[in-house]
Amino acid sequence: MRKFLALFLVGILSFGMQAFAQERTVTGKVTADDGSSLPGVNISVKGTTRGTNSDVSGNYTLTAVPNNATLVFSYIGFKAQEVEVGNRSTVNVTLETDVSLLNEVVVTGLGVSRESKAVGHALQQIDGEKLTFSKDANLANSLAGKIAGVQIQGAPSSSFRSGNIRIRGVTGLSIYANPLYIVDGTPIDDLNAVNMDNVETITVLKGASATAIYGQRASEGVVVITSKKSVRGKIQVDINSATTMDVVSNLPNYQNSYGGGYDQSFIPFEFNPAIHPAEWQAFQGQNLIDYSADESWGPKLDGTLYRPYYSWFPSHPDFGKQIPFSPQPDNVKNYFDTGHTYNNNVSISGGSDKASFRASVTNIKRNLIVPNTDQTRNYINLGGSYDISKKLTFTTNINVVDEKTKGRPLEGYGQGLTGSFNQWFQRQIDIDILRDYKNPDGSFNSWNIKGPEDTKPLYWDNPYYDVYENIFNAGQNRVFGDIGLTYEIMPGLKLGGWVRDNTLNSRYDFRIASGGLNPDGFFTGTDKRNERNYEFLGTYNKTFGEFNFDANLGANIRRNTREVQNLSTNGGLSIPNFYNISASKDRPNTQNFTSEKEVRSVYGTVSLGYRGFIYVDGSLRNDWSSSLPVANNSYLYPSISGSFVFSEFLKNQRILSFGKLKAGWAKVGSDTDPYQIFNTFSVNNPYGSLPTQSLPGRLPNANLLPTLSTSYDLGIEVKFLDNRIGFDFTVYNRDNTNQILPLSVSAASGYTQAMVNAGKINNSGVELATTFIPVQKDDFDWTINVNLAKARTKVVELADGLDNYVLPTFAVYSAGANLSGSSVAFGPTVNAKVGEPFGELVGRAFQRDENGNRIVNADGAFVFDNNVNLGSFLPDWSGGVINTLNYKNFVLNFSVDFQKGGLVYSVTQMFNAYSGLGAATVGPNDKGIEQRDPVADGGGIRADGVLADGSQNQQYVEAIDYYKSLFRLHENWIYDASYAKLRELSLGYKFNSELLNKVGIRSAYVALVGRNLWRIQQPVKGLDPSEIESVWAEGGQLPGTTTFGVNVKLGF
Amino acid sequence: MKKNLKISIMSALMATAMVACDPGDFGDMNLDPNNPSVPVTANLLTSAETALVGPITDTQPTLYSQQISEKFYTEASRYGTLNFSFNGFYSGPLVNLQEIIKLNTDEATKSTAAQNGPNANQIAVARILKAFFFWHMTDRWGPIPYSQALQGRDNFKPAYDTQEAIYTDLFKELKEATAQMTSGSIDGDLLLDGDMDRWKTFANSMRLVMALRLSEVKPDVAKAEFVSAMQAGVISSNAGNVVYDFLADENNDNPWEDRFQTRLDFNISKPMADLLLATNDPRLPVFADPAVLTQKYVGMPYGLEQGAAGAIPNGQVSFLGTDLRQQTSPGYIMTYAQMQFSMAEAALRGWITGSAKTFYEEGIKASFQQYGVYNEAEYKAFIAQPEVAYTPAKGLEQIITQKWVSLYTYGYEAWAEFRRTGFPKLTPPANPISVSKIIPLRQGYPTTERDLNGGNYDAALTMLGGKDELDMPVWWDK
Repeated sequence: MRKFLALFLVGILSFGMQAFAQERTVTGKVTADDGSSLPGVNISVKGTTRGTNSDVSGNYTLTAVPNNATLVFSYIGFKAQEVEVGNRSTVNVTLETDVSLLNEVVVTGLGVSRESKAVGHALQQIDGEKLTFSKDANLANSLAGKIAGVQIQGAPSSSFRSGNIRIRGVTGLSIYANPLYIVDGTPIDDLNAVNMDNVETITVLKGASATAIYGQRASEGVVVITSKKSVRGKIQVDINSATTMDVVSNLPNYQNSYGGGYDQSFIPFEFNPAIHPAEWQAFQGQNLIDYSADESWGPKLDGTLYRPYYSWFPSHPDFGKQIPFSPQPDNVKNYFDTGHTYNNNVSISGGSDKASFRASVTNIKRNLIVPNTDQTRNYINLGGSYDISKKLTFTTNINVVDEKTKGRPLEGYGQGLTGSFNQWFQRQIDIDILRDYKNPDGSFNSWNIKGPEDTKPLYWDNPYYDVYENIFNAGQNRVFGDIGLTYEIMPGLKLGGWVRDNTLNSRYDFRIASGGLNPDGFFTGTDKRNERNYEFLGTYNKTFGEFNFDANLGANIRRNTREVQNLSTNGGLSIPNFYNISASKDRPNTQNFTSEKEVRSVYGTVSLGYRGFIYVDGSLRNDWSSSLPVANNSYLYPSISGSFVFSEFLKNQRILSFGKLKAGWAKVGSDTDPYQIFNTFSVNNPYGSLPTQSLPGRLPNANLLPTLSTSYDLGIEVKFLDNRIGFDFTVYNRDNTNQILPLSVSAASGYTQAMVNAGKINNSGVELATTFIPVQKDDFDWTINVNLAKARTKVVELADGLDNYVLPTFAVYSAGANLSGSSVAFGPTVNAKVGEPFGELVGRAFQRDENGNRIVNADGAFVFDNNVNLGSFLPDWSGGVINTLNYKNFVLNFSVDFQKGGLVYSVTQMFNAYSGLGAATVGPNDKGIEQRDPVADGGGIRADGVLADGSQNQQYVEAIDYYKSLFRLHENWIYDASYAKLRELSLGYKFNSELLNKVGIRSAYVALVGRNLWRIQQPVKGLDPSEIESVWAEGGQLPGTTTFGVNVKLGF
Repeated sequence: MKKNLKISIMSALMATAMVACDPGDFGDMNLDPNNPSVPVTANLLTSAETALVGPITDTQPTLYSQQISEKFYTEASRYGTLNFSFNGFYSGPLVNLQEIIKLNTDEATKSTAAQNGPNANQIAVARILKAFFFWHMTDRWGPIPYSQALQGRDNFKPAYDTQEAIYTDLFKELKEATAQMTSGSIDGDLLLDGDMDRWKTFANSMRLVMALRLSEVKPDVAKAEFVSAMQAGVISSNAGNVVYDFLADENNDNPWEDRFQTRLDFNISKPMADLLLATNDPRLPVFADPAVLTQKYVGMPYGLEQGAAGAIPNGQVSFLGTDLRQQTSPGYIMTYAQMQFSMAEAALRGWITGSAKTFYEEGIKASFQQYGVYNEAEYKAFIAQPEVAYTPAKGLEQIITQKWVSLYTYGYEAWAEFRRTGFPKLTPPANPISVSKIIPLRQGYPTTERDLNGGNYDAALTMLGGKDELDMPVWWDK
């Protein structure tokens, strides 16, 4: 192997040393049709993969241009132009404006810009303008529907959490695998590190032949983020300021006819001198409700006078008073505030003939619709380059991101806020009275009191106590970026070296305030992560005759380290309201760990082009990973791809403007996490002074092998009618074999999991990215981009003799035993079953007869079967539409994204019914009589199904019992996850530049923006699958929001 | 050009150097710094013993036996759950106990292990505890993986053994364990403080109760083991009770305390409260708190549907007694009262000499003393009541009923005795969720076994009688 690599290396170098004659340096200036100079124009030598950019004055220099070459000038927003050089050494060009926005040059692997037609990989690029028009600060949300095959794994728009993205569906035995994100060459692990105001383009590398060169971490695809670049020449200053407001917009439908309780009759107060103060005798016979109930099966909200919970607080001004028992239809809505986001960005760029820089500062300040939350995030970005000599260039990108967060809206089953409002609540609660959550003596009150005799809460704290007293704080500082040196040994041959670093220091603390329902406590922790990459890259390109040749040779050392500490008090605080670990009543819980991993790599790529219509690329990479057993820790994998521009042979017609076939094949190897090989004993909580130790539940494996996946894609790109209609269609197939995973095994073996190499997962699909330009006139144009993708993941085999693997699920977050919210509470399991689509939900289903009728038992209740396949949560289709309209100075952008199929499990809906909160739990039954009336009076509900003898069930059961019988009947609470939503809209106005120039302003733009404006389709109100709490389930979904705002841009 | 050449040669050298020096050598980087690679047998024992908490405090069997009722969330009372997991027993205490045996047996490790007490005694205690867990498990599920279990990578699909085979082997294990004990205490024993005499008594007492379990299916074996265990010496006073001491520490406190920390879910059941009220039982104020509104002891009807359960205000019924839900309320594993009631039954069956009545009354007295409510006059009056006074004609019912009371909150044992004898007479709830609608006779296997150990799981169902349901009786339940 080593010998082979050495040969490979020598081969590339020696190949490069050969003849380089018949070349010249070409210079020139690029201007726009309005006469202004055009910086950043891409200039490439046709038929090669080489190119450069014009500087701030529009000037460019291109070395080693072959005789009779044709230069291609392309720039976003302008029509590309081809110019034959002939024997000139100066070529000046004027570009014409074009609205068809077809990216001619794309960023491929290793940050190399290449002419689109030369690329045989599956990738799709989008420029910053189309991502940020509605000013969503989150990259994942900004990408929704804009790239075929990229799906959002959303997060509620009313939380600080951000969505993630999934490329080409699920490719392995994990629901949670992330793609690799690369910002200007530096890998990062969190999309929030990306300053959206700084993004020039995003390229999503989908096919393995495109990602193979990034190695193992790219197995779920790569998102390459290219920052706006500095331009040489004059200084430019840009200011962008956006202010947006969020309002709550997607709550479930509630009922407003019945109040709290388990029974429809009021409970008359019975004075008992043994337990009640004498003056309470006056209350004899007053109407009470069951205050301790956290459900709404109580009396009718008909205005009858009753004693509200707070009328039992001796200190309350309304003590002893009765009020009418009346609905509060907007109580939940009124709990939420208006959220605000202030996003301000200033950038400055410029440079001399030797150096250039771009610096930007962004401040984003945000508060959510949930009270007492705020977050401040600052980005400081600096990028620059300096020509130390004619041949030696120094480059750097330094990014500093800091973030401070207060508040973390509770999510998951049974947590405060929506875990109460939508699951366990009394519908008649007056939210304004709850706002006074503190009693005069400093203790806290709640609506859910145990009773008049004991007004302490039973199950629920006041939701205002949750947000104002149980405070969560988090902060993080991240620094990432690189410094690099590039040396041009000779025209066409460059060597470069980079050091890249990404350091994240984060901390959090959380308190459960003294005086609430749960024992008080304090939790805190730190997490330090670092990734360091040492990178070497040699590049060579050369044209000889009708051939063009490119080669790269690289080496990389990556080291990841992590250091984590978590501390929490245990058994309460010894000093109330003193939030520190030293206040722990019992021995505090502590956890700390460190980890270290290193991967060393050598790789090379070769590209060959012939006469501008056929291109072939190949790559080879070898990795050595510290996480694998020494005997198996080296692994080699190749890729190959090609493209054929058939339109070059169909020149004399006007219909087909461009046509290309492309194909790619690749293998990608990958390793695992550290410390999966050797047996260790975990150290657990001690019993008094006795320490404890135990074998781990997961059996390590000293014989692990690297994982390999093999994939191919085939594609065709065609453009018609002067590029006004374009299609880019790809089919792909991928086999993921021998995955390293903690396989579940029969626990009777002594272990619940064992590390193994197992499985074969097949992932296939199609992707279509289309562009239509219905209108293209001088003062009006309209472009529509439509993206569609279908992905299918099938489990072909698991380990020997195993035909089902229950996938692990996770809590949304956790801090303390009492405060972890599960998003799959009482839920089905999610499974990989051999021969079935990945992600099969398995749970309880209605038992049905051969005609599909639900079966009802003699008591009038549905009969269910356990452990039934309920279908895969993965959608069939997903996609989006982006519309861009320009009319004179007006610009209208809007985007819609959607998915068809897939499943989502809703705990909120289940408890909305269970606890009598939802609108469906009131209203007439099929006899036209109120369903909550007693069965004896014609009320109740008839389970719609057949009895054992096949006859229709005629028995009615009480409404409360009917809805409770549906508890954990998963089939009833699993919804088709199809949705469509108008996610983004902006309407802007560009001020005329002539006018502005007179007052020293280069450009000015103002826009109204909106997000989540219209949930066109969702499974049920309150359940938007694009912002679901976790991947396929929610346990206490926070509400959605709608956002409105103004965006102003100024350039100087 | 010269300089260029130098740089390119250097770069080429750099690249080849990476390939040349062994890039696969990472030294000790992959050794886990966060977990020890060497165990201490005393620590493994402590860890295994903490797993006794579930068997003695679980709520589900205490609902099956109707000693308690759920106040409002009555799904468990109405048998809404079929599958219960035994996984934690195998991957928790059992595999760690087996590791103790291995570390005390292997020549390479036994001298290090002996720092925590004589090898033979550590092995004996590990065997007794293993027997306890396997006994507990087979009584809940029926056939379970036993002889092929705990073999790690050598067998990820262990076969199931019949309950008969498991009982047979457990009797042998317990006898061998007591026989191999030598002098010297062991470390890490939170249960019996390393006292080998107490372990011997515990093993014999366990064997006595296990033997009685076979009264219906194998009376001969039952009698022989019972007599042999009794002769070997069982718990002879409340001082000898095997008790799990819960600590005033959140990580080691009584789960009943946690259950009532922010909730009011469990009441004394109506059948239990009615019996105690009818017999003026002095244990009632320990077992239950008076209802808040009436200051009277009122049992909660068992297994109502939620609508009906919710219509009963919290203030009108008695919740589990405050004494039983403190952080340090003791967890009884095996008691003197249990021995006495068992002997009363053995005497009634003619297995042993002695008076069933005497054992029965001693059992009641022991239970009163155990709960700190003994008063001679009260006790005398109590046993003189017609409902309580021993009558040979309904001796078994009386013995088991008093045993049921004495085992309050130790549901697994009370439920097993109910399954074996049918006493006390209990009525299933009106609208159970389970398919069979009867009081469960076993618990369903974890679904992981169906998925991960399918062939053996199917064979186990055949042993049971065809299906994995709550109404399939285990072997000894005739």
